[in-house]
Amino acid sequence: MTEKLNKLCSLTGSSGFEDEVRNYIREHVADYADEIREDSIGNLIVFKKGANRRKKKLMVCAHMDEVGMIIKEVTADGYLKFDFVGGVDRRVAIGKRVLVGDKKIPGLIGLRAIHLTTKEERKKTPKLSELCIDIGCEKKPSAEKLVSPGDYAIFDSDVKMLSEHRIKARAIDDRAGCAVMLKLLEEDLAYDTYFAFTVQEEVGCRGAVSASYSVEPDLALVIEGTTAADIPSSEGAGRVCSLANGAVIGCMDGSTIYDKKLFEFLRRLAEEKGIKWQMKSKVAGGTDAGKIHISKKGVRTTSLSVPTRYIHSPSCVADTRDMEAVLMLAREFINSEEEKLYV
Amino acid sequence: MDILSVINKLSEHPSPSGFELSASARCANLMSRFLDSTDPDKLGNVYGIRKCGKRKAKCLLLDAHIDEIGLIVTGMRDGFLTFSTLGGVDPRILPAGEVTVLSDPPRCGIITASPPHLQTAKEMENSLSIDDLYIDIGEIPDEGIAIGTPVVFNSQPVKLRENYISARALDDRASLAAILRAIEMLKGKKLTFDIVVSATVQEEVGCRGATVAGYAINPDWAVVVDVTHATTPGADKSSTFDAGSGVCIGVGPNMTRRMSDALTSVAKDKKIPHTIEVCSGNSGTNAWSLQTVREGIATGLLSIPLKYMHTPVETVKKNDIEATAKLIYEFVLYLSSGGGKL
Amino acid sequence: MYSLKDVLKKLYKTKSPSGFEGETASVIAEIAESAGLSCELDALGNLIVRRPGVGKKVLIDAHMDTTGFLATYVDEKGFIRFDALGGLSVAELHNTPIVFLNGTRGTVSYEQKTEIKDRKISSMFIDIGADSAESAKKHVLPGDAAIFAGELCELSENRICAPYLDNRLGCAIALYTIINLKNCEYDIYAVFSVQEEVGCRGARTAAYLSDADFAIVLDVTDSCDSPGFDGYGETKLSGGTAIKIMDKAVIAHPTIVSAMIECAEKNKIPYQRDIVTAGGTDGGSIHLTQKGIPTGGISVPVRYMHSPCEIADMSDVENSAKLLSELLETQAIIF
Repeated sequence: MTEKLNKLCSLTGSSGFEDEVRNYIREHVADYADEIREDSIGNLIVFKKGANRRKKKLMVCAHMDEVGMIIKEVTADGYLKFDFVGGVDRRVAIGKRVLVGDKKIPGLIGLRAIHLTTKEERKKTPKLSELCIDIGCEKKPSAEKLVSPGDYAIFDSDVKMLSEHRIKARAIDDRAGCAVMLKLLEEDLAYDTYFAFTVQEEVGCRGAVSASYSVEPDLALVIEGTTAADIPSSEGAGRVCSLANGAVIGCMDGSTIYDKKLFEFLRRLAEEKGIKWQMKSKVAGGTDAGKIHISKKGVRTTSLSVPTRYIHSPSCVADTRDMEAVLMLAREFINSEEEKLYV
Repeated sequence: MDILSVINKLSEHPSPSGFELSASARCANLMSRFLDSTDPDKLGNVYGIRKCGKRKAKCLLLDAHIDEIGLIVTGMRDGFLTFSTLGGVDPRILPAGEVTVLSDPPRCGIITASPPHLQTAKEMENSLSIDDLYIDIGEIPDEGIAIGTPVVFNSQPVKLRENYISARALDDRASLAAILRAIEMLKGKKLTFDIVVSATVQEEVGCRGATVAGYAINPDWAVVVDVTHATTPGADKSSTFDAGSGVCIGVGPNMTRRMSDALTSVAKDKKIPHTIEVCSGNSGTNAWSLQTVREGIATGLLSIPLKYMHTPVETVKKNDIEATAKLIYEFVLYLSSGGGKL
Repeated sequence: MYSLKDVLKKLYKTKSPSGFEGETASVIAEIAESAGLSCELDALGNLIVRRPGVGKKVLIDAHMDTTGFLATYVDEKGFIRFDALGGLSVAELHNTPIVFLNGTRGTVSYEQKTEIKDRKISSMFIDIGADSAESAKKHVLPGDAAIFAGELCELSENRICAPYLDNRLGCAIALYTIINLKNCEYDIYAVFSVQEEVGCRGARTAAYLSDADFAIVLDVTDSCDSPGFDGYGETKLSGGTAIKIMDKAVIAHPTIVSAMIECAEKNKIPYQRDIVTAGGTDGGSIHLTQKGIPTGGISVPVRYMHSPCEIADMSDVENSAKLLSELLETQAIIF
């Protein structure tokens, strides 16, 4: 699975520009899927038959997109003005390398040198309007040959193992979820299952709206990367969740109160099978579940997440053991006797 | 058709958000001059329909909103009316403004302002908040003015030099005029799909009407036409567009990319003046609602540069409306002739 | 037969913070079923009560959920950190008694060193009297929910005080009205919805299934007559039932507004026109469902909303019930 994550994190998929990821997944699942469909907004919906027919539909969901940037303007001296796509803290962008557009033109987000700033200026985070991408072009015409307004950019950051279990990459949120779903698709499943690889989660869970509308699931499992703040500057509840403490089972976040019975079910399942699990100690953020559970007549929805440090930054860090825990628990969930999900 | 006369016609009927029912009936009337049939819905949206004659034909939705920002009476105090806003109203434009209180019969009102003689220079530095302002309608009638009575700005359309038009609520009547102009140009052309023009309600309070319109019509493609900020002195140039520069084509996650690409390539091919407008997330238009209706609608966004948005003196250059109409027209023909793989 | 106040008292025996509405749903179902109405729970936990009729289908909505507290973390000393279920104002929470759904009592307190203006939910905690994490976890686990501990008290002048008049009142009015309807042709689809306080989530799915012709939302509204409330609005305690003109999420359909006003005047029911400039109701979700469901609202003015001590006037409650019942029995609403 680490290999899959490596591959997925090397692909670009700023919200609205998920083509690379979608193409890879489509190709990869062709041999395992019974039906593959791309909808109008760009979700890839993959159906796989299991050993048994499910009476009610289950949709497993992970999003393909990641936070990034979009070019707004080429300045007279060849710099690129941009906006963030999705929630990015300006402070993590400064001094980072980026790749612009399909041509992956190397660039960077610079900052006036420390020598040229006042003490007061250094106390403040520069405004977005003060930041721009430098691709080395000196004049507008030469930059315009390479870049147009509307092109996307992403942080340029490779995939590395920091230690035996710790992986560093861009976009672990939510390529980790995509990797888990790819792995599950390769396996023999006990029941029919829909896998929705969604778009535009980072700009408001847009793809999930369409996916849940067309699939019309009765149950949904969202697989996500979630905020871990287990760093020295946080303590107690403020750590939210911790690396190597296992799969995060969703109880509540900013957009969803997860189905109580499914929560209990997953918790029992984890205990029975000896799979490490944890809860978040803070209600924050949102996932595709926020849109899925209120779709049409309502969908009982649950989630499993991989704790991810420095989420939405060029360098996210996750633990491969947590990913394994999410995979195992998701597998157990999908393969659980259907009736047990409805008691 | 004359664009100014269409705008004049639309301007006669106030349509503050949530109170569009009578304006939408008049709008249906106007639309019926250009389309085969019109159909209102329960919330006040009006649909103008042009059928291609084929069964199970595909459908293109062209959307502009008919509501306008306004005020709403919340009570009476010492012979004046207190009010709240319908949509995003900047309180700085209000003092001494002339409004129409849509009671039966309608009454003219002036928003209060203190004489400058009574204010210190320092006080005049600060803008007033809605809570400090009242509507003066002379004398309040015996029966009172009902809480919930809507209010609109009182301003007549006027022609300025060099093809500029100034009126209230050009947001979004300029866009509706552009759509109707395009439909008029399409007269007699054979098309391979149906067109529905939706004049939607309650955009200014959160793009509400479009949600329902998209669901009811369930189109294959949607092009939303709205206004965007034209450059005015002091504005940040990176997020405004010069008046007279043509139509803006929206690009970003909110716009389905194949729609943006097709609109851009048609504009280039037909040499229609245009600019790319980049939105990193929510475009703040009906496109945001429409893109995720039902299973998702392939959505494009065209915007007309407009100065002084959300004031009684919104100003637009007629050429930009025409460029927008031309692009809609050419895009429809392109779509009808196969339209790439849209 | 239950009086309106009996129904209200029954509801006060239950707890239903957002996401945990099951207990209230079963009490409502019990009362509705004893009146011969059929009940059903949907995927999210909304309770649907049906009173079939030959006329137009009308969706009556009242949310069952209340604000509350969600335990998120138990520290080594047994103090419990929490997050808000719905809109809790920090100002209301200092040393306030609360009770968990399993009956465990406790109090909310705050980190002493923090200045009043800097206090946030994250600097507050619940003390249940435990002396260690182990002892706390015997009673409360992360994921458990609590509400303000407080009862329904009767004040002078027919006024009542309690937490969660928002929206016990709406539920009581809707339930009392539909079990007592006599000559009603409308096909009644009553929804006691979940998760309004966290974003009107339940009403959305319930409305989707309802296929209703129009909707009436029963809720509470801010009474703007306590000291310092000038300028926020004209709605007053004891001023009659509040007919919704608009709130932040919905502009009531003009046809329904005029039908309500006509009905109130015809039947001499005291009413006031209600504009809410902060906060929305389930109507926001309902009216945009599918091809659009014209929506109106009947509300009861309440002081100190979302606090442990909300105050309302029973005469407003009764007038609201009367308006709803007259509207359904005698008023033609034509779109």
